[in-house]
Amino acid sequence: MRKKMVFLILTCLILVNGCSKQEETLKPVISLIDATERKIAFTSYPDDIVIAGKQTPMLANFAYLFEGSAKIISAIENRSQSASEFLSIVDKDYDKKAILELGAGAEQISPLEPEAVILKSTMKEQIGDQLETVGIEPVYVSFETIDEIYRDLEILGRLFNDHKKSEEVISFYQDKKLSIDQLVAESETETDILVIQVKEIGEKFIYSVPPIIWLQTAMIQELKANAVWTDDIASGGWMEVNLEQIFQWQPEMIVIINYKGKAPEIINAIKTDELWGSFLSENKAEILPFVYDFQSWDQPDPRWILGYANLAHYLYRDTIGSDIIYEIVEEFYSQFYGITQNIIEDQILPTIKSQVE
Amino acid sequence: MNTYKYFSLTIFFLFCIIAAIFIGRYQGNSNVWDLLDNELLQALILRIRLPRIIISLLVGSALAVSGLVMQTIFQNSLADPGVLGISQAAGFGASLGILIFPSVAIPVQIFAFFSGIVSMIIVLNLAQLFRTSSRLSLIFAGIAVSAFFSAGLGIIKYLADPLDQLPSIVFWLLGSLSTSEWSTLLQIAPITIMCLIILYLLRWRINVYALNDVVLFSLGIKKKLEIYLILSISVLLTTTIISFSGLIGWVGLIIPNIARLAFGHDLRNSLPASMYVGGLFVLFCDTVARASIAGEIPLGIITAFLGATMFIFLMFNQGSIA
Repeated sequence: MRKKMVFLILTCLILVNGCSKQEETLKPVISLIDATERKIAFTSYPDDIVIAGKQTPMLANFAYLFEGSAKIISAIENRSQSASEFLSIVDKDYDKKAILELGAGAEQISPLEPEAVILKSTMKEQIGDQLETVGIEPVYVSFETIDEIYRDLEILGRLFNDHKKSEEVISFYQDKKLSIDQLVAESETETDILVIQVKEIGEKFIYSVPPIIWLQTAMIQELKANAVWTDDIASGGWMEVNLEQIFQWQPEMIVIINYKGKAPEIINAIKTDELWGSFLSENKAEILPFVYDFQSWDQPDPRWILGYANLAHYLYRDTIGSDIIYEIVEEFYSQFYGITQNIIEDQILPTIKSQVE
Repeated sequence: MNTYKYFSLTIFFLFCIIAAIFIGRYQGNSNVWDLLDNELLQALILRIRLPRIIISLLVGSALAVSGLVMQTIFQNSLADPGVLGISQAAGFGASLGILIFPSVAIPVQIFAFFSGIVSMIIVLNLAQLFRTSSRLSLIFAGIAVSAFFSAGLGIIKYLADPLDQLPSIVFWLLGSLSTSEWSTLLQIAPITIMCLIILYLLRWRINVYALNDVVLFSLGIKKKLEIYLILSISVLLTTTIISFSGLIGWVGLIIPNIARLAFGHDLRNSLPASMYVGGLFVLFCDTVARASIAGEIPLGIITAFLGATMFIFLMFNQGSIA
């Protein structure tokens, strides 16, 4: 009996000891709270991350701000050709990455056995919950407003174990925005501006305005201009409007967004249209393109600060010259994506200058 | 009595057109004096509102007449272009067009048009294989083909890019006249007007198909050939309209019932009445769609809302549909 008791106590001690050692080895090296306020912990630094779901080009652009990310990201969902054009410049091995088919779910992602999957928070029910059930950790980000951009950069900074970089990028954004805001603060004029997405369908154009909560509207409000559509359009996504409504708003400045980079061509077509022509001349309104290099600058993408500078230049030409945009562009692409001066001067700046000037 | 009704309807029709000309988002509720002073308003009326008003009248007339013809031939007050699977097929075709040619309008319309025609050919051939009465077999075939194209549409929606193509597909499926211009009118008017004239001229003949099969046989009428011919014209009319406007529901179902209620079952009266009432209904709905709020409301939403309301009202008050 005594022998049995001793054996039992010894067994218990061994088990308790084993468990405590196990706990020691499972101590997380990364712990973070994602955009859906989920607490996530990794016991080792992830070296295999997939980017999936909606808006993967923007998410990939944010992820590539972190130097080590190119090696860690193993697959990206195929959402936009233009995104791969840019990332191929940044990462020479980009073509070797697995490209997930559009709308890929847990069945397509799980065979890659990633340690984490970066997703927009809106993809939780569609993909994220499935991934969790098969033991793959989704990390949700939002990147919809300026504050969310700062918060989500910190999340990515922890995930890629490069917190210093996230601080550097946030500091860059804050400094540039502050310097623009200080220049804007001196101005007393409040321009009536309309930012509008134009889609080409054949020879016809479909016009849509963004809702109040989106970045496009927020940037205008930050720049102390009057976004003319905000009294009439509340929430939802892009809202189609007709020409009558555009003319009724009587904007002094119209900034055209086109996600295929055709804003300059659309502007030329609009200027030659009789109806548009009479409106523009009667109201002395300007019509300008939202700059597009690899992607349109109006979106919640790392380039949002370039879009902010672009709008600030359009609204306050006397105080914010185009040279400020070019300086920010050079600094942004060289500092954060390591793009050489030659590529910036030969490929990127000419495209931008042709639209800004 | 009918002459008085037609006269009143014509006066009301003209009044609505004139009213619609002066209603819009730009200087809403403007009057004649504003029009004389404002060149931009004149241009907007001439180039945007007027073609859109005419197109809305055509769309309404065409869908209502098409629905009336189908209801007469199928001897079923609930029949409309959706019964033969035409609407679903056109929706499938248009969505396929958006998926393959996202930036081009014409292929979308061509795909929608030919899908509608293909659906009718399949329905007619399938109906031959069923061993029931020709009208019933057409409805059965229509239900099967409709389900087939609905499934196809579901696959396309699943495959479409949610940021770019899916909103276009959804917007098309909800129907809109927001891209109406004079050039659009030139594209759809010839076929639509031609089909409307043919059906108007054949309205006394279509009346005959309201009789049952035994009576038709005893009269020596080759019903199958004539029914197929008239149905083909009706399908052509519908696909021409929805290939441009998208899916606009309820017009083909509710308007013929209202026209029959007011002008009787005789197509010699109810067919022109359907043209009038259908035109007015879509004109009203489209004016609400373009002018009531800052954003364009999809037309199909308004026609469905009003159509369903009218349907319930008719069922409770007249029992005519039942």
